[in-house]
Amino acid sequence: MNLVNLHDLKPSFIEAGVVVDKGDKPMVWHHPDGANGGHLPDEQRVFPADRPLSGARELWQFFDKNYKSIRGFAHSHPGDMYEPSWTDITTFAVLESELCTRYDWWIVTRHRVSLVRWKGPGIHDYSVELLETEPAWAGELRARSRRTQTTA
Amino acid sequence: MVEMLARVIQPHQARVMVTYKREHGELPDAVTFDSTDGDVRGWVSEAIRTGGVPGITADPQVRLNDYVIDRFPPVPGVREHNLIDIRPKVEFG
Repeated sequence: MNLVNLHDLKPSFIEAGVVVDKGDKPMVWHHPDGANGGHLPDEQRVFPADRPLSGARELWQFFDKNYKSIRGFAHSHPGDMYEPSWTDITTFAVLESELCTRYDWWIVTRHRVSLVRWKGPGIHDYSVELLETEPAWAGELRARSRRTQTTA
Repeated sequence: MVEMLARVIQPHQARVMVTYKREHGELPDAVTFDSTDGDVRGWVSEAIRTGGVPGITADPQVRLNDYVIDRFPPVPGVREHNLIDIRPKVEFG
């Protein structure tokens, strides 16, 4: 039996995501293998027959199957970094191009929520708006981004 | 290297399934299963650009830089050959 000193446990931030429908309700939560405080990865590229699909491929398949019902996707950032990274922007662009649909992309930080939308004319030209009123699911996304880990 | 598709896919080969702008198709040629991601992106890009993937409308402007390559070994009784699938990345940082 492994004994854990409860004083060595503290909540850590790990990015998480959620697909939101056109009624502003969560459709599916996204917790891929290998997620950490700064990254929701898409790295599992070889799929043995006896292993379930990774979170990233499952998320793509969910978008592909439900693209007409989806309003957008939210993911969390550490601290108050409410602006999208270049990794975020290129993912927004390739999904919108592939699915021929524009989406809302939210970024949920510790205290704020931003809404990112394509503004054009270039494929990577997106606007960022800080929201005055948070979506109802923002609190749960923050809660799902905190996990208890053993400190070193 | 790209090899002509035989009736039976060899163990070192794979079929390549392509989804592009909500259309689906299969690369007419089998490729070696351990081809690099860059090679697969290049072959698929060229095929889409020239209308070489049945079921997918030709797109001279195709860019697959932000697509990832998934590889699936055979599943006995379900699929006897290797499969390569190309799809958009879903990576956030």
